[in-house]
Amino acid sequence: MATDTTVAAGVDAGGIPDPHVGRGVWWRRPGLFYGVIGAVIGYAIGTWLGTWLAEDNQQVQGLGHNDFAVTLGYLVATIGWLAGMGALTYPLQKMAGLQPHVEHEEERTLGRYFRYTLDHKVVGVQYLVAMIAYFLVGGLFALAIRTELLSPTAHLFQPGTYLEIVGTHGTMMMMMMTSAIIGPFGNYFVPLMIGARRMAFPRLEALSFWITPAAFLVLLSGILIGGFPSGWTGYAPLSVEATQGMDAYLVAFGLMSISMIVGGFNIVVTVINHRAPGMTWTRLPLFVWGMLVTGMLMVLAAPVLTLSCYLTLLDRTVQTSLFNVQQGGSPYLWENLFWFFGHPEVYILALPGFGIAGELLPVFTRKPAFGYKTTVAGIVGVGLLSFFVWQHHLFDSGINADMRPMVMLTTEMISIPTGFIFLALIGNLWRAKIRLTVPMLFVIGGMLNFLIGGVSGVFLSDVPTDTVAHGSFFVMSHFHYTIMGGYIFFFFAGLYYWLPKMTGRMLDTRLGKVHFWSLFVFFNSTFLPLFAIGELGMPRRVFEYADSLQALNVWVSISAYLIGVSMLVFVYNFLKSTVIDDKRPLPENPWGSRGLEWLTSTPPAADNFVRVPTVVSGPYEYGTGAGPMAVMSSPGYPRVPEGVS
Amino acid sequence: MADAMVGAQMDEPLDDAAYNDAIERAASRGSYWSGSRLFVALSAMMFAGGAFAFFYLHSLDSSGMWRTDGQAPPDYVSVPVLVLTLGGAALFWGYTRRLLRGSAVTTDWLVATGVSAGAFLVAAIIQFVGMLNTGFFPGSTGYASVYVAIMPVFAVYCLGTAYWLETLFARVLRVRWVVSDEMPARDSMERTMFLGSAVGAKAFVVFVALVSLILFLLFSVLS
Repeated sequence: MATDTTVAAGVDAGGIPDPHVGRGVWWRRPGLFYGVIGAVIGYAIGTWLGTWLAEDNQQVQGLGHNDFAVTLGYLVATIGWLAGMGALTYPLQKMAGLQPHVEHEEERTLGRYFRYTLDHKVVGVQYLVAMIAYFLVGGLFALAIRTELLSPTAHLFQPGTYLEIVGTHGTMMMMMMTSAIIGPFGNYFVPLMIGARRMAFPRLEALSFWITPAAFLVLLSGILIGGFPSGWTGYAPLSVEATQGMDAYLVAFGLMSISMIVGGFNIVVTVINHRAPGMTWTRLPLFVWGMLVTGMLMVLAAPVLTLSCYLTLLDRTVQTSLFNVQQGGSPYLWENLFWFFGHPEVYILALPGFGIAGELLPVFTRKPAFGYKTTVAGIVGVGLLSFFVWQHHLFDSGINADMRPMVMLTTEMISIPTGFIFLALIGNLWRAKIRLTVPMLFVIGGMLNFLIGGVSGVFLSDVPTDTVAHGSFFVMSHFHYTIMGGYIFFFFAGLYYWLPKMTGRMLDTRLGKVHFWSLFVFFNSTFLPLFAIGELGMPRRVFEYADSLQALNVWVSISAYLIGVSMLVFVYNFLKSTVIDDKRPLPENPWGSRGLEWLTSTPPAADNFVRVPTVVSGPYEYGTGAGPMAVMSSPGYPRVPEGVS
Repeated sequence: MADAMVGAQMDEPLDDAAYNDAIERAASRGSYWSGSRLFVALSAMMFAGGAFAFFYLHSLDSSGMWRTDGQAPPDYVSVPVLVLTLGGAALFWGYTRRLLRGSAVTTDWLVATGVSAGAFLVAAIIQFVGMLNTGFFPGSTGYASVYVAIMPVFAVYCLGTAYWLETLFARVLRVRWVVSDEMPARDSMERTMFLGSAVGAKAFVVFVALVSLILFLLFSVLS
């Protein structure tokens, strides 16, 4: 057969315009409006389908609630939502053999933030706003918990309601917040920091974001249909026996796992393939290393979570018995599968924070990164070892006793690469001219908090200590120190540092310092006493406690409210600086950073760089006399450099 | 292919657009390669979770209810699915190997791809329909539960493979020059993306065939 080699139409042959881009009235293209309509229609179809399927189902008739209808309602609603947003347009065009143009959205309207956009910077901003919103909602649940715990005997909520609140808070924070750094900062800055003009798979990137509102709303809606009693870990057999709110948990967590997979996949492929000429692995910014390893963890761990949620839904709907001991199943199957994801997840939350700390410390100490290779080795080492420690979550619940020492050893071993990272980060401060800017304060605060969280984690990795402290507030305080004290502090460091690049506006420094100091003081005032409360025997997830612990609990609750006040200061600062006082001129590179992301315009152009830059030195050569990190556009570099393939 | 193209330009000054385009083409080709491998890896983790469930419940044999005597999926489902997936994968792998070696792409590649896509589609349909008549209740034993859980996931993978191959098939039908090895077609982003996708699909069909074989061994052969 003769082959047509005519390319008069260029790459456009057979292609059609991408409906996601270009100008036009909002109702003529996919977007939020059609997403909502799609979700509503999808929910109606799914619910009807589930009701029809379960008509003769004995389990449904016996239990009095139809999990088929709820599950299918959520799933089809999500498909409708994504279809309405335009996520299915491209796959359908591919089926027809069409190749949409890869155009770039030049328009800078507010509307693009509500669409399925292919610009990684818009996706980054979408993620940022969404993550802040999810975090604040999760925080409100925390305040509800602390309000209930003001008194050991007088109650604001019913016991079941309290458990639902605890579970929703935990799930919201552990599920949605996995993307709090990789979502906004990873998507926005990884391409800029490696000299790429785009992400490897822009549509996947948009998909990873637009799944998150669906997951968030599904999770919240669980409260309306009875909530879930299992906490964020969803242990069987409770998860199989619970009412319909459990379906919300399983669908939401499953959706979020898909978002993690897709988002992590895109980051990994981008870093491997889209680095600019000269951006060798040893010049890769530490933040990018953090994102790369986090992405790998998401890609390899989250599929097991997707599977776990799916398996539980099957037990709840088609009556498999995967977690039912009487019929050949086992609840420990869930515990193993869940924690195979759940422990790497801890590092999915920790490593991005380390990446930010490693990135910011040289900027604010004005000297080369201390122990760059050690830090990278630590990040990679933590990532690898994170897959070998999950069974320490089973120390108290059924693991073969002979296995405990081995898992204890692997768990303790992970403190070695973590120590590499931590020591290298501290090394940056040695004999440095430290600039105590707001981002730097958050970095230092995060390191101090993480130190407490990390050291208490070493205690808990030991079987004897863990069997005593397991299920107590001691454990709860430990992971809040690592996640909120570390991860969220580093998130704010990144936010204060990069927001000028993202928006061209800088957060108010005075309010930023008020935010930092109040958060640091009240965070410690909240969680440090919880170690003691745990040691004194107060278990988690129980809303009545000994009278003798009331004073400490009241102290903690008041401190928690003050954390809320600190967050209000941040929200006010954020809105004031970005929306109200948006006319203040800002230097192109307010921190004097060498990073590649600061060498392009602010905010960056649609394609990031007019010409793909050539990287000529590392990102942390402060005080060494090295020139700029990259040549942005120069007659000296008119050719494709060697090694580009 | 892109290497040769880039190499040819080594001594020529390039304007910004051509420079960016050359780098983007190389990056896109690499993205398909590493993306497909990464997709295989993440899929492997999910199926490994299923395999873990199989062996874990098998070894626990809770309440002596791992599996009842003779409990197995019907051969008229499992055998055709295995044959179709192995055959489809072999066909696509072989002809795409020829394509990537630079052989002229003609109707035979197109037919092979179409047949492979069809084979995976039929395998998915057989598996889905087979789920309606497994001969055992989903929750009757641990074995039955794992089978009912994992096989629909595998059927979705077969469907996805059929979709991927169909997109290649449809693209060549619509734009024949995409598989031409002549300039300027060889120099196009379109061709780079097409070949990248073909390379990715080539790896992926092998993975799906391997999963098919392992699942057959687990559920139909292993007692």
